[in-house]
Amino acid sequence: MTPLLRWPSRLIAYCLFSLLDHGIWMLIQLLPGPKLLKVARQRPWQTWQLRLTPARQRHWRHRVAWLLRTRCRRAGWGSTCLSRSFSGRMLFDLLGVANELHLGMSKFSDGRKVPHAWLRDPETGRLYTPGLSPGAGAPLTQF
Amino acid sequence: MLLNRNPEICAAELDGEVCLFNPQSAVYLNLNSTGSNIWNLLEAPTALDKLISNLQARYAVDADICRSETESFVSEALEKGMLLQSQPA
Repeated sequence: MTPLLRWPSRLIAYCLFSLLDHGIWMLIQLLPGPKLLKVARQRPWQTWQLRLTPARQRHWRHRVAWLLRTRCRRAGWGSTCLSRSFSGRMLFDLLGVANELHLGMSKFSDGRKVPHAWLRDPETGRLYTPGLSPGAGAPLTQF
Repeated sequence: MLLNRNPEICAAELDGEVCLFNPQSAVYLNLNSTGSNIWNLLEAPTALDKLISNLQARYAVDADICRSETESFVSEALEKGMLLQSQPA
C-alpha cells in the first residue's frame, strides 16, 4: 500500500496544518464564544469551495483525515479538540466533503467533566477526530 | 410566574447528573444531583412554590434553606438563559 503522502510533502503538510490549528486555537482564545459558534455554523469559507471530481475529493479527504489523525496524536500546547475539529471542518468544507462538528461533555476517570468537540462523517459515522469514550461522555449538540 | 426550560438549551445526562449547553451564549453548565433534579422537575412549566414543595417532599431539608437555595439556583439559571419565566395561561 502506498502512503497517502510522501516525505517531505507529508512533513510540510503536517506543519501547515499545525499552523492552521494553532491559528484557530488563538482565534478561539480571542473571539467570544457566541461569535465563534456562529462562524462554525455559517461556515463563510464555503464560498471558496473547490470543484473537485468525486475521485479527487476522495483522495483529498483521505489526506485531510490522515492530517487530523496525526495532529490529534501529536498535538500539545496551543491546540485543543475544538481547534483541531474546527481546522478539519474548514478543510473538509473547502473540499466539499460533508462533516459534522459535535460538542459534548466528557468525564475523566477522576470525575472531572470537560467539554469536548469532535468531527464526524455524517454519512458513514466515521470519526475524524476522537469522540467520547463509551460510558464516559454525553453528546450535547451538533451542527 | 411559571418556570420552564429554555427550549434552545441542549441537555444530556452523564452519570446521573445533567450537563447543559446554551448554543446562544456558548456556555456549558454541569449541574450537581440537586440541580439535575430541579432540571428534571421542570420538564413541564412549574411555579417556584410548587417546585420548592416538590423538592421538600424529596429531600429532608429545612424549608427556609430549601427556598433560599432553590431561589439562588433559579436566579442563576435565569441569568445564564437556561430557564425562562412565563405567565400562567
